[in-house]
Amino acid sequence: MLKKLKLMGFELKNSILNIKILMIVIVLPLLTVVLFNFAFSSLIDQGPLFDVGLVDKEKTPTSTYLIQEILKDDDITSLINFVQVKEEQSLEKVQSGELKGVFIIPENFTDNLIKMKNTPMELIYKENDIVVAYAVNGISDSFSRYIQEVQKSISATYYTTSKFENLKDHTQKINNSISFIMISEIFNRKNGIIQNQLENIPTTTSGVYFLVMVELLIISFISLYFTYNYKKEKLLNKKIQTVGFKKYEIKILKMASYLVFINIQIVIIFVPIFYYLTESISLKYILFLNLISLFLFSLWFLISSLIKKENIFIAISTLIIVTSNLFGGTLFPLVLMPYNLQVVSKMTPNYWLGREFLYLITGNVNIINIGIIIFLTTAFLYLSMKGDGIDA
Amino acid sequence: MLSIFKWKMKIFYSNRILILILFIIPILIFSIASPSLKITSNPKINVSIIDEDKTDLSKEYVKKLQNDDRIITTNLSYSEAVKEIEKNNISGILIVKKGFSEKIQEADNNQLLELIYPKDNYYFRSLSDIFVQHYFKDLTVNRNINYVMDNFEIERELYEKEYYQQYNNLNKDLYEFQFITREISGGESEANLFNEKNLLLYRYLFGVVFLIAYILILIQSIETKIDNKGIREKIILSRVTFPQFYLGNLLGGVVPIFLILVVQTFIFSLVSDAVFKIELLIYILLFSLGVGLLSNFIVKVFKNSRNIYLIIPYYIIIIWIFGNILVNLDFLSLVNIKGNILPGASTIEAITGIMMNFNIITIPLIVREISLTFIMIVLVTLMEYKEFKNATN
Repeated sequence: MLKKLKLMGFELKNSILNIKILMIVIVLPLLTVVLFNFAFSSLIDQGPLFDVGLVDKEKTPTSTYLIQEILKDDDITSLINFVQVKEEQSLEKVQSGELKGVFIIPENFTDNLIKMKNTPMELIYKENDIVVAYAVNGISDSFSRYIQEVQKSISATYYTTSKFENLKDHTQKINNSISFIMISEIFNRKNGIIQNQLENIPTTTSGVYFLVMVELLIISFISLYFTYNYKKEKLLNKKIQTVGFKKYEIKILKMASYLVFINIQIVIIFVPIFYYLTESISLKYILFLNLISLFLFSLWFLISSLIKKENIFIAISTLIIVTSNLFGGTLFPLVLMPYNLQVVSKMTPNYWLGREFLYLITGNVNIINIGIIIFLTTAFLYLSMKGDGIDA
Repeated sequence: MLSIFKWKMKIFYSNRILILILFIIPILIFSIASPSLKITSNPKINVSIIDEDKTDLSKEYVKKLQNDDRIITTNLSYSEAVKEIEKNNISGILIVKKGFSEKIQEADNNQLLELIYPKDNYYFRSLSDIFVQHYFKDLTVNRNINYVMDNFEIERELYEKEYYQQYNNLNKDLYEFQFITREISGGESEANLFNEKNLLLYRYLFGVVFLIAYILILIQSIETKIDNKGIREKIILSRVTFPQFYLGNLLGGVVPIFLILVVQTFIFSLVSDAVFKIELLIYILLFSLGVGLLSNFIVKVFKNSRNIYLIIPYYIIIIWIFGNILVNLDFLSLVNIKGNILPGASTIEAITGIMMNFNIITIPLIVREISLTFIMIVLVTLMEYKEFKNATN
């Protein structure tokens, strides 16, 4: 036992004193999390993503009312914050990036609405800015529907009242009043919905999920790095065998020491950010990340036992990681994928591992999934030992 | 020069399995995603509906939701539905509140529905408008009718009958409300073929193609390093000069990537609404050149080629973020940098813009790309010259 601990200690000491390993295990993951936070925080933020300007070319009491309603409406979209701007500044502000787009209320817009004429509303934005395009088009699509419904109902009132003798003289007055009421109705449309938000249930669009997926990406590469090192130390491992260690013992002891390093990274980087996001942390999350690490080690060991050339081994493993991250929900949100691509994402380990982590947070652990991970880990490790035998 | 070029091409294509995988992956993904690219494919939200009202109107409302292709509906009890939310199998619960139908008839837009969903699900929250759209018509119609009823003395039944008749006789086409979109880049362009909701998906797929190209050319540069596979000996034996070696080495990396990208983008245009134009060849060549130089630079910086393999994940992250693939990096404007700072990123912008028929002005992008390419040429030349001298001595 002492001999085994000594081997682990030797491996740990070698790793701790190796700047390259420290860089790969601690510094680069930290930089990754910082970079991801900078780049994607806006996509997972609860607040509006960007400012969009509103220009009032009509300048009537009705259009002023319309603008006020838009400005105070927090519920138009969670993505956009509206600000009123002057027309002459609007284009410049979009070009400089201060505003991501501008809605222009044209002259006679509300007056024409009341007269049941349609004056198109103008919308300016950088069309190759896809997130903006997505958001503003969502709004315009939604508003088009509401304006159409309102206009149809007002028109029907206009034509109906003009058919009744006792209402005929009041038709125009009714039309003006009901039009004004209906414009407010567009902005108050969501009054009928009670929104009940459930706390502490992270989803695949949440910051926590994103953090877990980035951690998965990092662990994938750290485990690959250590496996590669193990493969490189083939001669050293043979020497260790001569002092009485069995091949599988060396592999398992080295893996244990690698796991210690991964846990250092988890504690230094993952745990504080996770706690910041959720205000809680549990040992079960760390244990699950350890299980994931073991699964990944076993996968890389299996591949390395099948592929003799180091460069091909690294290239194939990298390809597996890239594909899993491109389609498993790390680099592109699952909810935005069309159905066909979601099927592809289900074929990646990242998808299942990330989902299982969410189950763990909500206390819905899927024992079958955990069992499958443990079974695959054991099977891959066993097969990798066989592969080593062939190699020897 | 030709001999170095040929060696590089030979080494590049010698790793057939890897090339095949990297070549086929994007094409496979296009083929899988292509049905979604050709239609308005909204990502769907999965909701469990509980009808507490159980009236004809509420049933009709639920039916409208079931027929909406943006929504997938299920019928679960409240506790079952919460469990499914926790498992991320459904996005939320919609409860049609008791009194829904009565309130719609009274045009009382208050507590009609209850939406229950995880606080973290910003996507679901931004789509809550979908549920309003299906009762908004009934609400507006009743508001109109009630206004007249409240202010004038008239028989309701008679008025309602006339109102619905007038409503049904309306020429609905007249009420199509339009938004005019104006691009700020100016200039005339053909009508855009793309549905805005698919733009994100297109950008993502382009991202996959170019990301793999970045990785492929880096792997090629690692594998054809001067101290690999007897290249040093070949240089000495064939007595090539530095310019010949330099050009041969660069083109040996750039040409295969250029060819692969041309084929991939062409196939992408066949299976989607993206367009392939001849001018793209220049942009793809420029992209391959910039990325080829970047890869050569990385290979020179990291002396141990095995270490470069291990930085690939971080390379991917840097490309995904700084390559301006999905998001615009506003935070860089803090240090007065606007736009792309990674070689190849500006041409990605130009290529995707052209293929997606955007009215894009490519000159500033190309100027930036050429500037970056020039910087890379200077850096790589200096480093490669030193390496070449050492190798030949």
